[in-house]
Order: sequence, then structure tokens, then C-alpha cells
Amino acid sequence: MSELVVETRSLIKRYGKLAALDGLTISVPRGCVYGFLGRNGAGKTTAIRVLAGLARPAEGEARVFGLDPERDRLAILVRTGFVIDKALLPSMTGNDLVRFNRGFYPGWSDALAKKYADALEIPMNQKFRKLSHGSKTKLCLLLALAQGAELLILDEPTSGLDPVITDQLLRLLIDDFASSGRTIFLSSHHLSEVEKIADWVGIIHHGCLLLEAQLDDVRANYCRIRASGERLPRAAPEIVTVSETEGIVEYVVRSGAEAFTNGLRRQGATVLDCHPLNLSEIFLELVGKENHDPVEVLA
Amino acid sequence: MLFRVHPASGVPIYLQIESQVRQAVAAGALHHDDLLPSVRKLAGELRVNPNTVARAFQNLERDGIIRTVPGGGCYINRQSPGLLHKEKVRRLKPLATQLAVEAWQLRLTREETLRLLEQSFNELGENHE
Amino acid sequence: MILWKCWRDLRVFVFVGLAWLALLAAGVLSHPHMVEGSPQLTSSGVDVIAALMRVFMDVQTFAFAFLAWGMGTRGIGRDIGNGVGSFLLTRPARRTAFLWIEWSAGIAAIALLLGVADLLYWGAVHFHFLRIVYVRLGPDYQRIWVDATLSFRTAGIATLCAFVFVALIFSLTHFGTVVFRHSTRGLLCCIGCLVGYLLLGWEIYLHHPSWSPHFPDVLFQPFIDFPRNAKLVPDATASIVERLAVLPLFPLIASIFFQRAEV
Repeated sequence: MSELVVETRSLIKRYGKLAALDGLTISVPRGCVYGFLGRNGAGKTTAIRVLAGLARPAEGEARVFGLDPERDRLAILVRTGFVIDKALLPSMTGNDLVRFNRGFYPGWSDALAKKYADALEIPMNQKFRKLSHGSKTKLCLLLALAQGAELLILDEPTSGLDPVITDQLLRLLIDDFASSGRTIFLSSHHLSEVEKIADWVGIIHHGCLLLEAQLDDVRANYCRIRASGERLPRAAPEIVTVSETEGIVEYVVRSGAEAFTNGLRRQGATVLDCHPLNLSEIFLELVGKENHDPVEVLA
Repeated sequence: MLFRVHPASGVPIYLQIESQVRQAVAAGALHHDDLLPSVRKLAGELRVNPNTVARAFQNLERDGIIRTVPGGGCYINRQSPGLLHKEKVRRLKPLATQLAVEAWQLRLTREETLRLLEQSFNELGENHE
Repeated sequence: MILWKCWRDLRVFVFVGLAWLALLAAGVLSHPHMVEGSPQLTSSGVDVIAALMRVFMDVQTFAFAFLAWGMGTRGIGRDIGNGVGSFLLTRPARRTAFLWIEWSAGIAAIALLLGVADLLYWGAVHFHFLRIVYVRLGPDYQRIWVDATLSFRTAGIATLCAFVFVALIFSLTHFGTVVFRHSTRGLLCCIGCLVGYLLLGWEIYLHHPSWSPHFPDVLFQPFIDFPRNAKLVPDATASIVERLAVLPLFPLIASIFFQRAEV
């Protein structure tokens, strides 16, 4: 088992009566690209704030590089690039911000900063407050990418970016980070992007983890099966959802699709089709559902 | 590039890459000693995770389709005719299973199904004359 | 890095302060009494010097107090209020570093401005006005005034007391801005504290007059009957040292709030 670069155990964080994190346990292996997915308000940003030492959990623990974000903040921060709120010092230009940021990191590279500024088309001579929303996001990303970090923790990095720049960003993340064994932890709503570059996914819902697995395993295991027949099963451990319309029953199963369909056929049912689900579909099935098993670990 | 992946299709990306390499080899589009792009380059071009590409290459190497030369590059192995044949059969098997299953569900007899298959071959033969 | 950022935040105030001093110096030096051969220059030269001292003292204390308000509203408190907290506090630097470096930079800027004001005053008096007085009114006047009122020591002490006051305004505003994470509220915190303190002093004066002499003034007056003479009040040194010692308490208490705060 590869070493875990980010770990949380039963993390609980409350704001007043609301539990933003309710027993969150995640494990991020070194060198992976981890897609942290969840609806608005599910707790993604809160979890990231705890890892950054900006918020303190009520219970449970978090570790980055095996270190505690409260006690060993500086040791974590020098090795990690964070992008959380897309806000920087309003009166500074991109070049000023590079100058400000450079001094904090021994691994900073001006050459990389220039490369990313060109690739992402960032106007470096305009004051931050005058930049468009997309350019602000891009500049925040540039500062994290040029830092020479071992770990990137990015909260919705592609929000507000156009498809061309998003594509460029994914290319940069893969070429410069994923290929050199560094770890990327990113939270996103844009499932199609996560689906391309992530090798692990974690789905958070109401502050706790619904699913954490390697993406390829999830893809290989989750299937939608449509069948018609009499007395078809309504519950089984591998069934995630069941629905029926006009005599056709639709199952979403989380594993063992072939065995399940064979079982149906043995019962005399007609299996109409069986397709693998993509990440968006799996996400909607899991998160749109009210009754679910809280934690799913497939790997 | 030879490869195109569809991340939103639900099929694991490593399987898609493997499948495309195997098909290219079986169809003769990739030959013995052809060089595949490096893991890093392919991952960057396809915008997919390098671990995924690495996994595909590992599986292909395990199955003898490619070999890795230390210091650089993955090359296509000479495919024995037996292996090639095995690969072709492997590709067709799921389609055959699907045909059988559908026929059974639709309550077509074995003879009717085989006749259907023969008809298809004949049509194909006509088109190729 | 942090210091460079502080400089960028404060530089406009430093430049305004220096420009203000330059204008003031130009204005004072072109006053008729400051011009050689002026017919108004008589023994009432003493009054001119008194007026000159008054002008500089007022500039130092009250005009720079406005600058100090402005300077105190900059810094990490305002930045967090503007949403930049998650960027700044994920840089590998202690949180308290931001606080202390900003405070120190502000104090240094105030010291710089007051130091320049002090040198300007002393320069104006010694190298310009006194030369004229000496020429017109003779050596006796020089002796009286240099010894009593116009010495470097006198100007220095007056400036130090002004510094303590202005630094207090700055520290209080900076403290409020950090605690409330908002420039305007920081400013109001400072004004509120000063007004409250003055009202407290007034209450004590009205109802417990015997306590009054022990209640420290916000603006410490070090001289008895200034500027006619430069005799120091008793325990002047102790009072000034106490006030200086109070100043770092503001960032210290703010750092206690700030260290464990959520952003």
C-alpha cells in the first residue's frame, strides 16, 4: 500500500448546529490524482480548509504528509500549493504577486511562472482587482503551480474557465505534476474533467464519504441493467438503485454485473441491456439517492 | 495520434487504450518493432492520468503484446500467428455471446440464428466483389 | 516579502506625510518673520518662535494622527475581510509574523515622519531663524532661547511625546482592524476607545477629583508652561517609558486572538 499523503479520520466540523463534516475519513495515496466530488454544501471546501489549517475540527484528525495541520502548519505549507478562494491582493499586478510569492518558497521557479502565464494567457501587468473572474482563477493557479509543491490541493480549479483554458490546465497538471509522481487533490463539479485525469475519486455527501475508490474500478464495476420479467428482485447488496416504469425494471449495481444478469436470466427474466456508467451517472445515482450505505471502499 | 479515448463512456480508460493497441496489432496497423509513444507523452496528449496509461502498458506487456526496453520506449512484439489468432477470437467472443443471448431471449432457434449469420457473410461477400 | 507588502500598503501615507511636511516647511519659511531684514523682527521674535513651536507640535500630533488612522486600517485584518485570508494564511509564514511585521512597519513609518518633522523644526530654528534673531537682537536672546526652548533636547522630547500619541492611534486602529477584520470598524474601534477613555477621564474629574492627577492623559504634556520654558514635569521620563511600553501590548493581544482564529 503506497504511503498516504493526505489522510483524515472521522473528521467532524460544526458551524453552530450544522455539521459541515460529519465523520469524514479519506485516504489519498502519494502520486495519485484524487477527485474530491460532492454537491454544493456537501463539505468539500470545509475539508480543504481543515487541511490548510484555516479551520479547526471539533473531533477527529487530519494529516498531510503525516503532519498535523494545526501544529506543523509551516512544514505542510512549504510543500503544498493551495488554491481555495480565488482572491489575491487587489492592488497588486500578476508580476507583483509573483514577486511577493516567490520569497516564501525555495523551490519557486520563475521560468515555470512565465511558462504558465503564457500557456494560460494571463495578463500579468493588470491589477488583480481589474482582472476578469477567469483570469483571477488562472493567476491563483499559476502561483500554486510555479511553487514547486509536492502536493496540490485545489478547490474547484476550473470554475469560470473556458474549455480551451481548461484543456490547457489539464495538460499542465498532467505533464508537470501527475507525470512526476506528485500528488493532486482537487475538488470539482466538472465531472467530465475529473473523469479524465483522476485515478482516485472520493464522493462526499452531507459531510461524510459515500464512495472512495480507484476510478477505473468504479467504472468497471458500476453498471445499469434493464430487464423485464416476473418477480424480479428488489434488493440485494450489489444494488444501488431500483426503479420500474411500464414493466421494465432498471437496476444500478455497484459490482458483479455479469453474475447479476445471469441470475436474472436464470429466473426467466429478459435482460434488455447492460451498460457501464460514467462518473456523472454514478455520481447522480449515489447522491440523488436518500437511502444509502455511508461508506464504500472498493479498492 | 492513433489513440482516442472517451472518458465519459464508462469504460475504464486503460481498457480503451489496451483495446485500441490490440486491435491495431491484430489488424496489422501496428507492426513488429513499432515504437509506442511514452507513457508521459501519451498521457499529456490524451489529457488522461499517466497511471492509467501505465496500467494499460503493463497489461499489454504481461500479455506479450509489447515489450519495454530499459532506457526508453515500448515496442510491439512479434506476434506469433497463434497469438494473433487468439487475439482475434478474443475480440469476437463477446459479440458472439451477445448474439447468442439476444437470440435466446427472442426465442430464435439455433438454426435460425446460424442462418442469419450465414446471410450476413454472404452479403459481405457480395459487397466485396 | 511581507515587509515589501507592508511598504506597498503604507507608502502612500509616508509620501503624503513627507509632502505635507515639505509644504509646511515652505509655508513657515516664507513667513515674513522668517525673512532676513524683516521690519517686524523685534523682541516679539519670541512670540514667533512660540507660534512656530505650536505649529510644528500640532502638525506632529494631530495631522499625523490622521495618517496613523489610515495606516492602521491596512494590513492582515483588512485583507482577511476582503477574502484574501485563505491566500495569505496558506503561505508558509507564521500568522503572527504578518501581525508583528505590519505593526513594526507602521511604527517605523511614524518614527520616520516624526523624525523628519523634528529635524525640519530644529533646522528651521537653528539655521535660519536663530541666525536672524542673533543678528538683530543680540547674543542674550540666543542664550535664553537656545538653552531653554529651542534645544535639540527640547524638540526631541516634544517629538517623542507626539510619537507616543500617534503610535497609540496607529496601534489601536491596527488592533481593531485585525480583531474586526474590517477597516472602518477598526477605525471606529479606535475612535470609540479614545472617546470612551476621555469620557472616563471626565467622569473621574467630576466625581472623584482626587483621582484625577493619577489618571493618565492620552496626549502627554512633558513640559510645564510650554513653550515659555522647557522645564520637565516630575516623572516625565517614567511616564514616557510607560506609554512606550503599552504600545506593543496591542499587537500582543491581537496575536492571541489571531493565532487560533478561523479564517
